[in-house]
Amino acid sequence: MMAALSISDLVAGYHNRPVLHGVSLDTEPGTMAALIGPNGHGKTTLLKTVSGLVPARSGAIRIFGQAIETAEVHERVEAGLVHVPQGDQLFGEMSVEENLHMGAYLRDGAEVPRALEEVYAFFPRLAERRGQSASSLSGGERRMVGIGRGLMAGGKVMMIDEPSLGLAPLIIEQIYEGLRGLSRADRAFLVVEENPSRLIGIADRICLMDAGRIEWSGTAAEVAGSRDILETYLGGH
Amino acid sequence: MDIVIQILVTGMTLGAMYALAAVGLSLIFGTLGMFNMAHGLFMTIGAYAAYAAAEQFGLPLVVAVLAAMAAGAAMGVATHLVMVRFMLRSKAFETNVIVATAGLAILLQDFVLKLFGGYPYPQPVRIEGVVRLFDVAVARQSLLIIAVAMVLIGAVAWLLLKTRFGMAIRATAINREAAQLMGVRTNSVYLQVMALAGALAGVAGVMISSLSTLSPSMGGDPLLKAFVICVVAGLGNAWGAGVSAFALGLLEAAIQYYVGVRFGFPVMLVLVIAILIWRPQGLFGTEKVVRL
Repeated sequence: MMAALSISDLVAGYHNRPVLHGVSLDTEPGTMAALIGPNGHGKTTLLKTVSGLVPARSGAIRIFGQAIETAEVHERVEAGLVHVPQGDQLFGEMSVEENLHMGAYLRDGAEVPRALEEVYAFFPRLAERRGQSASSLSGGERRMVGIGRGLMAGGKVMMIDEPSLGLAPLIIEQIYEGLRGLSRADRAFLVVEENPSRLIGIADRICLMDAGRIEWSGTAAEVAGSRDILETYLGGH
Repeated sequence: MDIVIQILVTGMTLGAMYALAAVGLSLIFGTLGMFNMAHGLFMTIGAYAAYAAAEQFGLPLVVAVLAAMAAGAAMGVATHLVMVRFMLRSKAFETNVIVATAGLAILLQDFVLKLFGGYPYPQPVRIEGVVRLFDVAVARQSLLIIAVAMVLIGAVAWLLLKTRFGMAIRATAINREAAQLMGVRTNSVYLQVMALAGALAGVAGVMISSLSTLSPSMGGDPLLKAFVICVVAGLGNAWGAGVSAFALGLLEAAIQYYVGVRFGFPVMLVLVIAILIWRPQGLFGTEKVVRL
């Protein structure tokens, strides 16, 4: 079966500081994979390299078989890649609804109203706030706009950098379950998460990233049950 | 009453010309983060293009104005393609690009001088005559300038707020990386903004020269005023720049009438300094603190 997102031997970094030292990772269609690991070990850089914000020095990236490692950022979006970045990166002076519209920038205009309805059903709070400027929202609401904007693209591979950041536990659960519900045979999720216990029953596979490599991968239950992994890499979460 | 109307018309005419220059300058600053020192020359070249079209080729005035817009847009596109795009990723882009565009301005001004000479030709693109407004004789050309500027600025506002193209420009201006992640071709957006701002500058040039004369150095003074307006409005805020342009135009006209013509600009500058001490981010500026 063809991988939704296939990364092999990816090397990348900033200026003279390499951050990724040969990352390989495959995600299957219809699944959710999660990246965990200590801060500053390349999780965010990996996502940025896949979306093209950070250039890859070597290695390959494929989306459903299509090679994208040398493509421009917008070409990767056209190929079906969605990246919800760390810190939301909302368009602060635009309204919530305009932000969501930007998420569907490359989509056929006729599909936008339905996508918008779906996002508002997913985050009813955003429907209440639709006319408000994004900069006036609370941290949790901003996160919802960030994820909602990503969903608007209707992409095939959706990468979310810390979907749970700044959200209340109940909403985190709701978001993960909601994303699970959106799972389809032609779509895959890759999320970055600090706390592996949130991923039990949600993520199909957990990849532990350390020092710019995938050190270990397995199921959420395996991670939560492994004292070694928790203590060595995650400071005993 | 007569005096008020006179000041209103003069001020709005000045404001209209400043607004066309300032909105473009502000759009470029907001989107690319660069202060375009060649903007004055975009105006000059627009003015000469209209002159050449009307005087040398005998084309209708409307076509001459379109020629000015085309020339201004072409200058914007060329500036981006041959210069700015290679500098965008460089360190200290903000300062380097000021020096580079200032150099380009000198080059272009000499080019205009070489091509047309220094003789202060009158701008043929103008309409003669006056209309009576409450017993005050108002030049038709002034009313035309105000009307054209209003229409163009309204069109730009519509473009920015209501179209997909405008959304892409605003998104790129607010957060370039996020815009890229939405699938926006930010390099094309830069090019389009340069073309749009250049076209507005071209029209501004025609208007300015129609009230005085053509000269290769005619863009210097309006560039300075447009820059001052952008700073007062808050750098990069195109809407604020348009409003501030009309406000400062009216203010300048009032000062010229009540205090004296030669005090117009100096008093305006003192006010600008006062405004910036009170609100360093400018009247309409919000979050960004810009260092100069």
